[in-house]
Amino acid sequence: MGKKKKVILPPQLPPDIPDEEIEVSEEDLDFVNKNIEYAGFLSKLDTNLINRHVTRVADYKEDELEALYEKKKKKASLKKSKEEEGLQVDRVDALPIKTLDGELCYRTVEESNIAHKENGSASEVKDTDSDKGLVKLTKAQRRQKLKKSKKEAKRQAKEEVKETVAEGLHSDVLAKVEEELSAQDLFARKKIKLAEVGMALLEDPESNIKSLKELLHICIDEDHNIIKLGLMSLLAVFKDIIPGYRIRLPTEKELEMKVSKDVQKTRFYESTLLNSYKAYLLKLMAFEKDPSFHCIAVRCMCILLDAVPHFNFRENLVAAVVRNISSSDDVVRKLCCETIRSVFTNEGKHGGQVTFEAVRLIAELAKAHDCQLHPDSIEVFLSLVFDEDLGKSEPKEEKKEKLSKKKKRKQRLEQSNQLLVSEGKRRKHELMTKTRESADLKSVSFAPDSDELRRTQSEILSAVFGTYFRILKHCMNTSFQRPMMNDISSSIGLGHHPLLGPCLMGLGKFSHLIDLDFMGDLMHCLKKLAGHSDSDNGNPSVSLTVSEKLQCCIVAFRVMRNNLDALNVDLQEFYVQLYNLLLEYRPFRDRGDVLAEALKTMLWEGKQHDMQRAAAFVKRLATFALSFGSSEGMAALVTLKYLLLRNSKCRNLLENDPGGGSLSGLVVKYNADATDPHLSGALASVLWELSLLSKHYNPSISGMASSISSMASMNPLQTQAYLSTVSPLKAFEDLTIERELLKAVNRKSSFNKKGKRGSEFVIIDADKVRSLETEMDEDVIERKFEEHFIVLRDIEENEKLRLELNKTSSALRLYEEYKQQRKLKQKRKQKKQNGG
Amino acid sequence: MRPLDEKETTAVFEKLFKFTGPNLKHIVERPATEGPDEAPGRYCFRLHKNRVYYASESIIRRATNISRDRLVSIGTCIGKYTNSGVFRLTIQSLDLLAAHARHKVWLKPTAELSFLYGNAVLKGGLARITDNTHAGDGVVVYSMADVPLGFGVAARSTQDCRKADANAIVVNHQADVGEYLRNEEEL
Amino acid sequence: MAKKQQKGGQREEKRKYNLSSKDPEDNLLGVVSDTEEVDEDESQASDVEDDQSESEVSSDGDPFADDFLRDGDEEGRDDSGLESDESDLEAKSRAIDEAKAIALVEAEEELKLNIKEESDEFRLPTKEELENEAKQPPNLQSLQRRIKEISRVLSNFKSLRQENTSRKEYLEQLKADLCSYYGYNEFLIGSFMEIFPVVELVELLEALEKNRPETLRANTLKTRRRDLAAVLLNRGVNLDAIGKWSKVGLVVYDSQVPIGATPEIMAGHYMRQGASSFLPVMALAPQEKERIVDMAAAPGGKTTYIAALMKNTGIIYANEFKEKRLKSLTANIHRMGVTNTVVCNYDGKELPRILGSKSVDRVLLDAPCSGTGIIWNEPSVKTSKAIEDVRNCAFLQKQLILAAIDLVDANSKSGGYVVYSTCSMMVEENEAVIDYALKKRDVQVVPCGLDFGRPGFIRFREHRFHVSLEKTRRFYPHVNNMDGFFVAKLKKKSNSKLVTTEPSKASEEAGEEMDVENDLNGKTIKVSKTAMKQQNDEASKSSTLSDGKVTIQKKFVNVKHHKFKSGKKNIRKRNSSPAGSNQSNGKEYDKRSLGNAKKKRKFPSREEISQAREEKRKALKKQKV
Repeated sequence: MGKKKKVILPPQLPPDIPDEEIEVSEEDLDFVNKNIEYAGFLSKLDTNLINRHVTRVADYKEDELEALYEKKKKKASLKKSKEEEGLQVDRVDALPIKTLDGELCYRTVEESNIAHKENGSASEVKDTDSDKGLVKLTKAQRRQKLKKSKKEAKRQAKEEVKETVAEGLHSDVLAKVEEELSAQDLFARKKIKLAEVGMALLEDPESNIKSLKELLHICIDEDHNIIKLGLMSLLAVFKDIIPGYRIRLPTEKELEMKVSKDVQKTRFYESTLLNSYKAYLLKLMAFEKDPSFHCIAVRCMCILLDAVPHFNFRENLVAAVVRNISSSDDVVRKLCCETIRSVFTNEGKHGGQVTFEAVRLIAELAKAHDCQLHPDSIEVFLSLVFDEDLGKSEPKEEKKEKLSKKKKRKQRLEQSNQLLVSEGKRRKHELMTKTRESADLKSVSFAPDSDELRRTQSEILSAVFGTYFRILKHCMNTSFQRPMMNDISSSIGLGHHPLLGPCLMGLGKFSHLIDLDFMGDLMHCLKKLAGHSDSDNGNPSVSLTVSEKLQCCIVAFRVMRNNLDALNVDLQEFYVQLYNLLLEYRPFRDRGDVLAEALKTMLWEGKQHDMQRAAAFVKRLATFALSFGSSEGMAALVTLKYLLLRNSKCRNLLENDPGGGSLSGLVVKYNADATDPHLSGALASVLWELSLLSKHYNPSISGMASSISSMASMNPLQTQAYLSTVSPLKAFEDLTIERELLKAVNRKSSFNKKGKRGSEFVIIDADKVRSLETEMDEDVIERKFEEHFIVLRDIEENEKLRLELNKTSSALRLYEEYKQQRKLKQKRKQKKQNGG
Repeated sequence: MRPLDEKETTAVFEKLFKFTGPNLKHIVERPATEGPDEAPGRYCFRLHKNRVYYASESIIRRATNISRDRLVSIGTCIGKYTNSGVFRLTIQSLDLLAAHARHKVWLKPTAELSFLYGNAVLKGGLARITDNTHAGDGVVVYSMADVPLGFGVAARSTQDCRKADANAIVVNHQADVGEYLRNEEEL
Repeated sequence: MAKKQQKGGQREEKRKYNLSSKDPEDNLLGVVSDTEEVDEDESQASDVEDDQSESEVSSDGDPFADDFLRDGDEEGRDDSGLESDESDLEAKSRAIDEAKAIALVEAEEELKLNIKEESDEFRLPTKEELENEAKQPPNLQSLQRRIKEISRVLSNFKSLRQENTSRKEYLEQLKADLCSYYGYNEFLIGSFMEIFPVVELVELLEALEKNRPETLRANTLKTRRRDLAAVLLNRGVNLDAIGKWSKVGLVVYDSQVPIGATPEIMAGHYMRQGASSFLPVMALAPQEKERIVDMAAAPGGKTTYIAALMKNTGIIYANEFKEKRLKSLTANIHRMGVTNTVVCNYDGKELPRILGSKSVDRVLLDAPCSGTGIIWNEPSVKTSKAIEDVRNCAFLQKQLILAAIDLVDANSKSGGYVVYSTCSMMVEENEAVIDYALKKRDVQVVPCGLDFGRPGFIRFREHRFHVSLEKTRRFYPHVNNMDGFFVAKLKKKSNSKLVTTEPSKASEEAGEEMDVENDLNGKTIKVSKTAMKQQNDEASKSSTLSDGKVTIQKKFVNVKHHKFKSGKKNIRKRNSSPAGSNQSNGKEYDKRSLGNAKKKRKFPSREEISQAREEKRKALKKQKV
């Protein structure tokens, strides 16, 4: 119910509510004391709730008493209920009519109910805005302070009322509850108590730090809502207390500092705070097991971790959060991922240790679950940030260090390396830390020295890459075992390797930090995953989907590009894979955008290709463009054009001149389904596909095709001038969008499109004839296609004509009617005139 | 002119395999184009005057009526047996190797000439190298314009190349097209 | 150099003037016909005398001997002229300058007022003058001027001739001047004069002095001309397409890098190759999957071009006779990535026996020749080549072309063609050979598919060649800016060897050629032997010439080969005459052979003899005076 209210109510409450609530409750209590019999209906309200809880009543006195009391009441109520129900209803209905003192009490009852509600809401509200505080706190400290000051103001307002109330209240309220109090009121009480203790704490932590225990006690309750409320309020309290209004400090240091000043108080304060916090955490852990409290517990922990990642027991927090990072429950999972992300993103709060913790735990998790986690759990790595200034000067050292890491992973000798690396680094990063200090004071106050920072960071890196590597390995190993699942799962972009996608993304993102030794193995894995099968072990990993394989290729290229300074490597096998994947691609099973990106990364951005390979790709891309949708086709054509621009030698695919065949090295005949671009003999063939594509229904494709086929006469020297800017990926997206639009647009626009294409007929034939004098069979094909297209066009022409015919005929009909109307009018007029 | 015997065949194939790997199959099995017949058949290896020639069956058939001492060359000469009885590939086999090579190395324009004078390829002159080349693999050397310039043996793997310094030898020279001009007589 | 420049300039004027006045073609014909007439009446008499002399003279040595003597004398004269002191050079030159000045002045006014007798404005030098001249080193300017004048006179003989001087005297003088000016021997100049009209002859000789442009052929087996041009341009080579007529040719204007040592040429993307050597291959027009024979393949430029046109299909038998050229041939073939070639080392005449007759589709015969078309890079030809060399070449060529025709299968679907080409401009090596082949085999001349170049001669001096010979093509340095070259394409009509000999003016030649061809071996020995002997004499006489020896050495090789082969054949065919008795055979062969040789020599040598007579007469007159 709290939740619902939260949704409904405006976040801020007028500050006067608590006062009048309190008053009301007092009168209410007096009244209840006066005439008890009326209280029956109250008991009736929560009998069922009580029934539920009788069994698991805890061993506290008040509960026992309550239990006894409830039992009696039940018997009583069972008798009463028979006769009283009707009356009660009548009464309730009749109440407004009676103008005796009863009305007053009834009103108060209602009021009390309302009050309770409002009270609950109030506590809720506190939670909510404290929640907000939490959220903001992660975002911007300043606003949170502002918020706190507001609360201060509130508190000042209520000051004296509280003071008066607090004393009297605790005593007599508890007493009364022990005597006979409905669970409803109990609920109310507890909520109130929560609220007040919370207030008290917030107002002055030092003085009434003890009341944390009470709060904890309250949290032990049979009422879920109470527990939840308790947890939430505790959360709010801790969130406010722990950081306090000071710059964050690791608690230990704080202790040392405080020792000098008034020891007792602080000591006590600290200890109680810690203990209660610990207790709270334990409680949370306990509740986390309980399905009914799972969500709330996790939520609390997330918030805590997010708010106070520097505080004690953070390891436990992290562990708990990570535990749930790949839970089946979406809410929880998202929550955890968000938390981890925020931990990663603002390392400033904590010295990066938590990050490392989290990464390490996630790595272990992945290891434990055999890489069968939810993608999100690995995706969080993407939000890891490696400091810019470190990053700039770092990668080499990172590599060195990670090199040592790898060595450790392989054979244990890292110590010396570690040392000398740190030696090398110290000097360089003094100044760096200085800048960071000046940059943000919060982090500087306990910013660890650069070695620390670097070590943690390198460890993080090694952990991350270790995870990625494990995932890849895992995919490789398992891929042979269950190749069947492919088809089922392939519908969603990621196969039965849930982690592969984010893993690849991560590799692509952090590839510039990869250690060179690691790179060799990485390439090997990627190659295997991309489906490359060596002659020695001829078992290609069939289980990956085309998209995944393409992604592997892409990542491989990213990695290679980012390490160009080391060496410019020609990833031949990956080209071979792409060459074959082009044939395996299916428009609706596989993701076209991935394909387009692959084309972009591997061919379009690639600077050097040797002639054979480029020609092979050109030829295959032309076939591809011919056989798939317009968007894929466009992507292919853009790439094709780029290739032709890049290496002029391939342009004699556009001509049919002698030497074309003999140029193609030793393979003088083009075989379309060659697996090796070098042996496809593409140079022996001619790009007759273009002359068909230049009649494509999609004007942009036909235009592109014709422009390509007009490149034949281009001077090989002026290649660089014409380099096109639109990338295959962009082209693909543009056309996918355009396709959507085309569906939407009405026939008219499509008509004039067709008209355009029709007009292109002549042009294209012309430059086709110029560019390639085609062979015999090809002529036949072309004639067929032209006939086909002409027929289509004629059909459309007819339709157009028919439409116009209809229009004109309808217009004529209208005109007829109009004339008749006029005649009628005239007749009428005449009649009138006659009449007149 | 006679077919190779067992050990000669193995010697030749071993050399070729170092460069072509599994593509050796294609070298042996690809259909021939030379020869006037409709079906020129496959390619075969023939030994003639210590040289191993690679030519299509139909050409070899037609060359049979040329007396041994008058026959100078047939098809492509891919290698020769040295006086010490060792078989080594000669530069004439470059086209064959280049078409089937698995490992390639591209030279910077500045490094072309030194290679064409028979020097080894240094890391400094290395423009590009095929991935996962291992030490001892046969490597075909290209110019940046993809003109095959020669071939050699990889001195270190791609991995090591990444970390090697500029003067480290990457490919040991075996043959280069410069020999056509340098020592036409030995060819 | 500067001198040459100004000479060139003057010639330019001259050519313009000529072109404006007359069309060179009929000018050529006219002149030739005139000379013929003159020669005819002259040489009839000489013939008679010759016959008598021969009849009475038992040993045939003499006429040749005195021929050679005369040659010797001439050369001696030249040498003396060269050796003479240069003390009075200034005087002479001054005198000549005055004379020139006067002559020019007169010439101009004569031209202005068009007076009939211009006899004394240019007159041939008298004997004395010639002798004086012979004593001094040749004065190039005067020589050149005289050449100009004579050619002018000859171009308009009727009006400009000085009376009582025959055209022949002018020609004699001109020939002498040309010889000394360009440093040819008389024979070459003489034969050139028979081919070209005077004006054109001068142009030709000038063109032969200059180098031809460097040309490349893009190897379409490995690249395209467009790409190759781009790469070479990047290397700093300034080049351009060779012309409309070739899709693979490039001409290099200048280059910063050695065009013969680029990575591209090493990788076989192109080949340095004279423009003229494209022509026979283009004429051959090989088709894919054909059987082709290149009878003289080295250094492989044409072979690789053929292979490129065939895209490495079919088969090419690349034959080369000279062992020392085989290396470069195979190297080029491999470098250019040609894989469909069988390189063999035979004498072209044996090929039908080896490969089997009627066994191939097309044959390219780029015959070994006297090389008069490539004098620009083989200057030794100017002086080394004598009529015998031309004859031997022609003889060898006739044998080779018959072998080539025998190789071709007449009823092959795609082919049945023989392309014959030489880098010589001699009619004996070109039209005569083709005409001979036409008589010997059932072949016909077909167009070469080359739309430029001049048609071959069908009537040359007393020869009357088959009409279809105008389908052959002649290329000249001064016209096409390439080597002097000859291309003829023959289509074999049937495999039958039988011949239809229509009686022609050269029938006798044909007749005796026939028995040459019938019992090849014997005649080969004799002719070649005589050739050898004469060469020896010549060598002994004209031993001053250094180049002569080289060529003679070559000849020795040839001859030896002939003898060796003939020996074998003797044993094989008619099992008479053991190998030991070759000498005796040789002797008594000699007479017959000399007879043949003399008969053969008669017509070409007529005018030489007549010249000899002429000079003797002059000498006598001089003595009388």
